[in-house]
Amino acid sequence: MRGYQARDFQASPVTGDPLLSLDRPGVIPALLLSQLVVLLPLLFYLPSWISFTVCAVLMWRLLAARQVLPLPPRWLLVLLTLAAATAVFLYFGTISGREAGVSLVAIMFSLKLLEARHYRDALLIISVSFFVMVTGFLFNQSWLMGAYLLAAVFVILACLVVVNSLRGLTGLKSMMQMSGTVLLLAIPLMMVLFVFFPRLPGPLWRLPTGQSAGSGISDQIAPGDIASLHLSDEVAFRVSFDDGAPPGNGQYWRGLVMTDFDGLAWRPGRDEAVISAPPVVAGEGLVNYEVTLEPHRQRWLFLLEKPLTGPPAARRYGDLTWQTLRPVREKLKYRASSINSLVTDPAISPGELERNLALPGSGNDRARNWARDLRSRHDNDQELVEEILSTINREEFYYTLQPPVLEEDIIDSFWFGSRRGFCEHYASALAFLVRAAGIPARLVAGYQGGEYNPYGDYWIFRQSDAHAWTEVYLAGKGWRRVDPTAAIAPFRVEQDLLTDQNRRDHWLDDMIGGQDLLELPEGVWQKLRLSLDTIDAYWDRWVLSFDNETQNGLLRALGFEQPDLRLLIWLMCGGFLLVLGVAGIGLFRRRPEGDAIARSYRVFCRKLAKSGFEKQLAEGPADFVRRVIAERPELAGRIVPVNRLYIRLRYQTEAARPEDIRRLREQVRQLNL
Amino acid sequence: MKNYWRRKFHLWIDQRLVSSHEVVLKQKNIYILPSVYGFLMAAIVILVLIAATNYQNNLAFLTGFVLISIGFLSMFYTFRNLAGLVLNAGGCSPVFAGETASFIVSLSSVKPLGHYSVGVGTSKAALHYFDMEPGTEYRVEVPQATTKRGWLTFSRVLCASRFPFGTFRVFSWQKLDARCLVYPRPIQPDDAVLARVGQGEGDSRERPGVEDYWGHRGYRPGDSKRQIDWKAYAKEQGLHSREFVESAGSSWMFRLDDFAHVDRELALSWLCYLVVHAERSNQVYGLELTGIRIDQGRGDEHLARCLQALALHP
Amino acid sequence: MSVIKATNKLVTVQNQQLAQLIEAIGKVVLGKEAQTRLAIACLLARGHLLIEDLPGMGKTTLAQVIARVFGLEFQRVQFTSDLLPADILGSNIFERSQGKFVFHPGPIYAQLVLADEVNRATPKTQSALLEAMEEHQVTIEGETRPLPTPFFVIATQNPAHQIGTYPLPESQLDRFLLRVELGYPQQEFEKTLLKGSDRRDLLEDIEPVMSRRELLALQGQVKKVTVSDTLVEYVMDMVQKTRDSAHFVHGLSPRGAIALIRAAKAWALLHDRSFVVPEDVQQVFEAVSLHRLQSAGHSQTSSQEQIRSLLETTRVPD
Repeated sequence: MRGYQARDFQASPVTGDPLLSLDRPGVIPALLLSQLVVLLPLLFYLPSWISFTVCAVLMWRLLAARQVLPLPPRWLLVLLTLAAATAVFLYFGTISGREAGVSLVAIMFSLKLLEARHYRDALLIISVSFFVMVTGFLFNQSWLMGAYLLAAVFVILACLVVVNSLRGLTGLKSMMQMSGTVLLLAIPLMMVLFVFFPRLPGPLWRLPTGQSAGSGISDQIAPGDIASLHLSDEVAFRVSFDDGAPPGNGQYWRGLVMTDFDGLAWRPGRDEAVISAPPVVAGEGLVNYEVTLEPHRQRWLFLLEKPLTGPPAARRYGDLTWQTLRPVREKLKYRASSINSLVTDPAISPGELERNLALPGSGNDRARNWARDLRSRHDNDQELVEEILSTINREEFYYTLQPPVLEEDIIDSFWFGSRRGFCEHYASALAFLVRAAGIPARLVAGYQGGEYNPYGDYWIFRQSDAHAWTEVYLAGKGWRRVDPTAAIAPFRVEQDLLTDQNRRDHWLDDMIGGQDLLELPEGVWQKLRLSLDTIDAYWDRWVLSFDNETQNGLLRALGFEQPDLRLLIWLMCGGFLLVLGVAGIGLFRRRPEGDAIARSYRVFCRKLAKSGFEKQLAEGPADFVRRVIAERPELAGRIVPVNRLYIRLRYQTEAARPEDIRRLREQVRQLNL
Repeated sequence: MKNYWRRKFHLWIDQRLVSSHEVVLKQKNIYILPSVYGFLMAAIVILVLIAATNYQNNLAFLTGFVLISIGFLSMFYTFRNLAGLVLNAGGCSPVFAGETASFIVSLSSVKPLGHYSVGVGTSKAALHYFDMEPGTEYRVEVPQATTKRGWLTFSRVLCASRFPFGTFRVFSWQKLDARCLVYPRPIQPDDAVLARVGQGEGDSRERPGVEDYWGHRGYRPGDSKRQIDWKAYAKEQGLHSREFVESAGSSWMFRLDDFAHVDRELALSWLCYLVVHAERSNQVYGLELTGIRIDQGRGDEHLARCLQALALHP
Repeated sequence: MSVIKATNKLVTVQNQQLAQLIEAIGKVVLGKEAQTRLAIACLLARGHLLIEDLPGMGKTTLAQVIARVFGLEFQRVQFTSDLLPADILGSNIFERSQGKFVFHPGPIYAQLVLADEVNRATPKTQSALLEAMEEHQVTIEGETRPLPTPFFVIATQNPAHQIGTYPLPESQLDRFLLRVELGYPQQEFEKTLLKGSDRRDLLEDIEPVMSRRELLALQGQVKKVTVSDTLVEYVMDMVQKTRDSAHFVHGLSPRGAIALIRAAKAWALLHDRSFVVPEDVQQVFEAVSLHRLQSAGHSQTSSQEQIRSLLETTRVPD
């Protein structure tokens, strides 16, 4: 009774809603992949047992898809979930902190796929995966993570296409093409939203912060404790100078000043008076700069030596250091200025004098005696200090990053015993000796040296640039910087240090009088490092530190005097729709047809059309050019060879050679009518 | 509530739709709505943006923004997957009432793009999904239940897709100009009824039958396939029909008037059964309805003629 | 240019040679350069030519002058209603002197045959000629005799509406590669025609421009002319248009499409090119298709206009 034949159909259509099943080829692997992609960055930050659990669960699902293992029954899943939650609680003691919360999310998320049997489960997994991706940003916000975000979105989108395809994974290329084009079109839209989306000046509510401690400079210097110093390449802060860096290689960046010495460690003074107005008299050589400080979870800021003005939100102390009111937990950008010829009030208060002369009641007797002996020989304070420096230079003092551990009287055992150490040893020894000789002295911790990045025109200061030096109070002159580490004879600097990429102290350059003996060859490695750091810096400037204020600044630069919320929303919607419209036109436009030859020829025709010669629909190429030349004979020399080449490529040869096609394109491109 | 709106929508759609033989899906007749998953994604995006604002985390902002952008773009992509699809009403073979009629819809495209994971059917619950590569055509049988005899017009046909991202659902309701002939449901009459059925009229000359082999003649369109001399055909001698004769006794003339005492529809169902049965047992039969008389005969065409008369009997 | 070297081993008609041919013919047949070119192309493509026009337009002269410039042996057959196939093909005649049948070849055994007013003969006679044209040989009483090479038939035909004619059926028309119309001469040429000397005298003065050997070599080159995919696409587009057009009963057959490409190849060769360009196709299209396309008869415009508009709407590929 049925008249048609089965062969009329290309393939029997699939009935029901096959899209609701997850049994299509490639769907489960796609879901696994999208989970893996977002969980991967988390695994570096979560406790290893959680990473292990997550991997095990994913592996289970993979084996189940290959029918090696059965899927767990529901009761087991419930049990596993509860067990995981309990374990997280027991491990962290909470489930609401950052690590605990993210751990819980990661485990739950991986378990979800074990019970996924339905289309809606698949979609839930995919949409939640974006959220899991975001939790990774709580740990790391570097530009690499940004690049990873795009890659992850690309992968997840391709997986989403697989999930929504009738036959599952059919062509990897077409699915990747689909997700790739969407992502490419989404990027400009994303940028519009990023710039104009209204930002709040602060968080909605305060959140518990992480427990990990900051690295870098700490609030005490205890030279004896350190057996070896590991140089870290981590960036401490970056500086861009408004009008170029000040001359000289030895930029000293002051962080904090330590006055109290208890025999073992130096600490900042207890009650520094806040000075509201700068005690500046006059000065020349003003330097303005902007510092981008990495979060160090401390309050002090770093300013170039002889600072004049600091950030308004920070407090200024009498020892010319600045501190914020709260620890710096996010990247902080501040402007400051220093002045080379800063003249400060040479007067010193009695309390300050006392604190800067104080020594522990006992200990280090040899050093005290040595200092007293020195005092008896030198009346002049400056001469005395210079004598100590020349001692360091003359005698067997070595610079090393692996000093012996000092016990008991650390100054004595350093000065008369080991004579091996780095800046902290020398600075604290000098300060001790000077104080013992009755001259006020203090320790300054900060950074020195830095590396210039020519690609981004800024200076980088890494943790390996951390430095300590001494300041000595000279009557009538005020505080003067004395860097004892610079006094070490160059040949007593350990050889491995000279060849080390991570030079700790750039004072060496100063000491040998600017000779480039220690200048490292400009290696590829270094260039690469600088380029990467440039990316990092731009990323910081334009992405990570983009906030309410930057946004307002940008709007003002665009000419909007009073940026308000309504304007932002208008700009955001308008810009978004505009870009979206362009994307839509691109998507629905007819694709250009034809091969490279045809495309080149079309360009050729367009160029002629601009000169007033429209090619007719049915006009052959030779006829067309003949018509043009009839009217404009002077064009013949330019257009005939191109046209001839085109005709030959199009009609003479079966397969045109690539170089000829390129030549045609080149000739058309160069054609100037 | 949901059903109320759905009914309203279908009423409105029905008013809008003009039935035609061929439709091209385009902006005018394609609707697009976010899917459940689209709403889920929107919720996730809002969550991400809140988290981003709270943690002042610009990478989280970027994630939220890229998702919003993709969401809007996916609208284009989903729409593009359906736009340009051409629906053509094909034929539909006649069926008996109660059987499922299969309307053939052939699909092609006016665009050089493929159409993937597209469902075609009479309702959302009964969609046939298919992938259509660029430059190819596809034919789908759309089933439709039949209840009563007569012409069955093709109901609205739904074209829907969520491809490629599942965030939006595009759909289009169309009315294709096609109809299907539905024969009465064949019902076996009981023996008492059969007794009334009239045998052939007093025509004593031999008439074509199935009993005795009479001879060969050239195939004429309409001859029953059972009559064809397949052996001769296999020897490439062409199509020939074997002729049989049978005695006048086994020829039938079915009359509606014989069943005047029962309900009209029941009578037609009985006649339908008798006609089909007679054809199956290779008998000669004719049909007489009010105002229509089909002379005795046999073969697929004859059967179809009889059944059509039964189907369309007023 | 490196591109040419790869394929250009063809002997083409040098521009100079073509000019000579045209000039020589033009001395006798005035103002018919386009038709002359088509006729030469037809000869190169080993096709046969149909000239359709009223009597006295110079059809015979054109045929004669072509025979002369190529140095071809020429025969003219006047078709009449009583002409029999044997009158063209020849027949076996009993020679009493030899006591056996001897074959007497008919006028078709010539390199250039002018079949004048082919539509005056009966269909039987017409088909005898056309079969011989197609098969390039003649079979009489079981004996097959090849026709000379080159073999070129120019048939002339009066427009069908004249009384006492048997218009050639479509299937037979297909055997002619090209069809041209001569039309009335332009005024200036007509004046010269009237004033000047007799055409026949002029004909005597014409010297062959090309030898038979050269002609045969050129004919062999036609099939080596390159036809690119792009051009085939263009031709297919054009052929499809004739099939889609409501103006014609049928579109061009595949054989018609092949004829179009063959004629275009000859045209390209004639114009010193080893490959076909769309312009070649455009030039020969009307001559190839007009006699192959039958007007459906309900349109206001003539087939000729239809074909021209078809040419104008077929896009040349980029």
